[in-house]
Amino acid sequence: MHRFFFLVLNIVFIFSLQAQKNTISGYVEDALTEERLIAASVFDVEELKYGTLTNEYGYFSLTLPKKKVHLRISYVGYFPIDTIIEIKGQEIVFRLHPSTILEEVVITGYKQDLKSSQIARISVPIKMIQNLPVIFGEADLMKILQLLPGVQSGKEGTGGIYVRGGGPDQNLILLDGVPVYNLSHMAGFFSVFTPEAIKDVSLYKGGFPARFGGRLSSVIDVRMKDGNMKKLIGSVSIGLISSKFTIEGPIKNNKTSFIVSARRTYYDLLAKPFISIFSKYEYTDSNSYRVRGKVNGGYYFYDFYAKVNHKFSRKDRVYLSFYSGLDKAYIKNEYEYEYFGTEMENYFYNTKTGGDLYWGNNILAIRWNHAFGNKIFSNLTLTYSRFLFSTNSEIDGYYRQDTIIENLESKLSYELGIQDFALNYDFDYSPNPNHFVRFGLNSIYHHFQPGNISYKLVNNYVSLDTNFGSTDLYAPEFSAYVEDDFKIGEILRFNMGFRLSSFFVRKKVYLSPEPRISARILIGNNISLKLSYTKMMQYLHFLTNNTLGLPLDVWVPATDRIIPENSWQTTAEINFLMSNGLNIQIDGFYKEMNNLVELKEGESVFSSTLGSETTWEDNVTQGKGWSYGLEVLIKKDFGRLTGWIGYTLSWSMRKFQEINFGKEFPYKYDSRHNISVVGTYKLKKNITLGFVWVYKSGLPTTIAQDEILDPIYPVSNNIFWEDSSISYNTINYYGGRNSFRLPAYHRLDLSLNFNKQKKKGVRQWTIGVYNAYNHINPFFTFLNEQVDPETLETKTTIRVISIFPIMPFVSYKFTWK
Amino acid sequence: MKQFSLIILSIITLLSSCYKDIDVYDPNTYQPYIGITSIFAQDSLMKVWIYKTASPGNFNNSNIINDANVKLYEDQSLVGELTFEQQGDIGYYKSNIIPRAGHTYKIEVEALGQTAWAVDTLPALPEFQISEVRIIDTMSEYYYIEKGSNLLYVDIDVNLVLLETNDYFYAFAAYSVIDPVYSVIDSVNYWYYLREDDDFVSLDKEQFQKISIPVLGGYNNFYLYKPKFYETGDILITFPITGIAEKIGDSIKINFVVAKLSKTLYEFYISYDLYFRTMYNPFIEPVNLRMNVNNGLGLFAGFSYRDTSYIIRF
Repeated sequence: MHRFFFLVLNIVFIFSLQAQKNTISGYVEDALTEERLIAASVFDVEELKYGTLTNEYGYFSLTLPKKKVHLRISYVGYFPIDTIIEIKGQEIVFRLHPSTILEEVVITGYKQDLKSSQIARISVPIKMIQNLPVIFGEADLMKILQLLPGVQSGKEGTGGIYVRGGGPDQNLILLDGVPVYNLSHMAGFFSVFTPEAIKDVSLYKGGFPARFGGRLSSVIDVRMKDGNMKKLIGSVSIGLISSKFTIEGPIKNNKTSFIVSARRTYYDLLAKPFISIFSKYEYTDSNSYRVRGKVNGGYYFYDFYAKVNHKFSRKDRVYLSFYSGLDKAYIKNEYEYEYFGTEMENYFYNTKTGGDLYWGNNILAIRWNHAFGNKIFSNLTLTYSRFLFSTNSEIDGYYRQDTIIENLESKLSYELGIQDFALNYDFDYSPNPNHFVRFGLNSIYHHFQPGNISYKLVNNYVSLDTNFGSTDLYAPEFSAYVEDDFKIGEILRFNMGFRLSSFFVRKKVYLSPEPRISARILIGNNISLKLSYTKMMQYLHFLTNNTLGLPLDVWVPATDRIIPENSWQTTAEINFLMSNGLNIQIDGFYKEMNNLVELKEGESVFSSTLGSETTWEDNVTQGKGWSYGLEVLIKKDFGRLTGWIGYTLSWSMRKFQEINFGKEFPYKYDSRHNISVVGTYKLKKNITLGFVWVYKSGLPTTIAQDEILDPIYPVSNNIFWEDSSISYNTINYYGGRNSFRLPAYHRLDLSLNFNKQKKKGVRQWTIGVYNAYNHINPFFTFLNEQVDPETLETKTTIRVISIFPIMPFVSYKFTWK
Repeated sequence: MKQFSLIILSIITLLSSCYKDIDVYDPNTYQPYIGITSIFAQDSLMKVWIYKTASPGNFNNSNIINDANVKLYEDQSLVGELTFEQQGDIGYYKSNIIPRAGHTYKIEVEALGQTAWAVDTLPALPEFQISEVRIIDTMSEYYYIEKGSNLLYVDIDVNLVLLETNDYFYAFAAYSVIDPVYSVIDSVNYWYYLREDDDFVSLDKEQFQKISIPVLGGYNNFYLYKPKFYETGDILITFPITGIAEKIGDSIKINFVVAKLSKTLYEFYISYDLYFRTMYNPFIEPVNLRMNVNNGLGLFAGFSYRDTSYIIRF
């Protein structure tokens, strides 16, 4: 199989070299900001079969069989450029002017999608994100992704992503090409991505090109803005929970630019006055004792993005991007106790206790773009990514009686995390009109920290400073890939790729070939049929707790005992472009996932830390999962009404030998029907209505379903003695892992955006309501027993707690230009 | 400022009070199954509790079924019908058939317009021999023991024969009775237990997995051992026993039991242990009980055992 792929790629490559054509290359940029545009289309108007899209850096290379060509350069939200060019191997920068969304441009974009061999990819319209209603009025990328077909959300209000029945760890989330390990703030209610700093987002659910690897279920490719090259612009936004600002502009005109964006919550600052009122206490019994103390605590999170780029020449550009985000909760307690007795009995003690909990990502990327001639574009990237979760508690105090003083100092810390250093070298090569080749090398050095505890205790008698917990692991990962996007005639187009990845851990080497193939068959001008087969490997496992929203999830590597996860997926897609401009995309998929990791029955992520002789490898088991389904996406990106309707019908199952007695069970986010209606409607020139309606079938959960006799406790069920006191106990029986379905989830969110052009920019007020008809959607459930005061009978029910009932919100934003 | 605080507190209270109760446990709409409970052993009267399952929180005495048609099969042959006997709050069905080691039993219950059945095979009798009993220590006036009592530490070396490669479902219980004052073993006060410490003398912890579980007697501190490796042949295991003995006579009799569980019973115990250890832990998915009743719920499983006595003279 692998030889076959190499053979095919070689043949394709040799043929491509034989055809010597005319090549034009360059960049497509925003005319006002010189921001490079991703996936802008450049095509020959007279012969539509010749065309290409710009890559992640706005670069294109187009080789044509003629010297003089009528080109159209277009991008959604911009006026297109039509130009006749005589090709002399030149490099050109096309600058498009922004506009309201034009039907013609959108349909051109749809046609490019129709003709592309890429399957199951959805580009998320960033501008639309900012007009849609979201909880607390905080525009959030991940919450919009959850509304797309094939994407399942986690708990109510949280930003977890579950793509086509896969787990949250199976998403490769890239920020400027760097993996982001933790997506959430505030127990998952906010994601780390602020839309103001983002240029482009693409979601791949299947048909993964060979350049992506390392995860099983999806790729979410988020690209930050580069920064305005022409003038200083920015925005300030004030919301109920947080405020943020973004500022971008040139450092040196047309050469160097920057962007800085930051967000911080102010819940802790708002709460501070209340805490200071209620947290102090003091009471005294004048004859015997005096107690006083105070408590202080808070919580906040922040995000900070910064990016600088510099054009050394038309062929060379360097980017430096940085992200830092953190959540922190803290509490401090001060307590004093003084006892008044006889002189000898007097004593006093003072303790200061404190604790904190924080988690966050730090990401740094240095990138060098270079064009070799006008056919090869290269990108060399050096990156660093770190996720850390830490919790600390400390006690500092002393006890005094007469001349005796005893001191106490103790500190307990728990840390887990992962950090990566990576070096990637990627190339794009456009040898002729029929081929677009990408190849490259990736290397990552992983450092896993699955959970370490350090403990320090110092008092008058003992001095202890120790560490225990899981051992850190180090593992290099290397991969090489090549893919060719090529046409055979006008009807057929293929993307064939091959990725070879390897992982080194504890003297064990894993080597994995990953073939990828996508095909497109054009049926007339407005319909295309696409098919794909992909194999993916994942060398990272994720131990997750299913119950709480904190990121107590542990990233661990494949080891000599716990082998890597792999999957294969097939997707069939049919794409219609209707005469009225609607785009309809219908996908069917089947995915099989092997060697998935789950905690064994009765184990938690903490099982291998506190006082245990076991390691995390003892507490996990491996099994398989499979999912299949149908997805429908109907979208409209122009006119007064824009948005989409998504529908997903899917199944996702799991089977582990050591869980649920080896029987298959539904995945915890197996939701049969998902419907989303998402849109914006321009009521007036300056007023936009945003709306979201979501419906999801109830998620499965494990909850008691029957009450039975406890087999151990009919006491006389003991063969060694007879017991005269015959009685019994009962016990609850769960029908099996995830065998109970919670009620369906649905809600309607509405918002109104009022824009007003001011002297120096645009002011935007947004008012809205989340969960407009106040549906009680489950956040968590438990068995609830209530005693009827009249009959004294106990009634047991499942109590569904919803933390987000109807919630109004308001936010203010000012964008100056 | 305080008014503002009150408003904020009111909003928080309002938001946090959003819940609804789903009445899935309404006894009027709940569809009950036949429940069967029996843990039986060779050479002992088989007792079977039959009941209708209830929705959680709704089980009471009226759930016991006393008019079921209960048939017992031995090695696929009908050997009799079980009859109901009221005892205490509830009653059970008993059979005149004494189960035998190495035989397969099937129970078939007709009630509630349903038929439920379960099958289990009693394992062959375990082969073992006490090769040595060593008194490790006796301690007088131990601080938590009543005055005049001794704390006795004994190690028992046992030669155990594993007969088959899948013959790994063993439970061991050990106890002692004071001889001659308490020569009967019907008082649970004098059931001694395997000592729970890490100082196993020769029990290879790598070879065996120890699970603390209320095995057989319904009391904690009896241990279920599962060999990790499927090797046959003789193995030597040392059981440390701690006993509290009143110093009345000059000897103590230790009764030692080895039980071999059916696979069903073994798996039930494992799940039962996990069920209780994890039921209030929010970080852990609930663990279900291993059951073997078809078209119903419950457990019908057995074990075979042998016991032997050893008298220690001071």
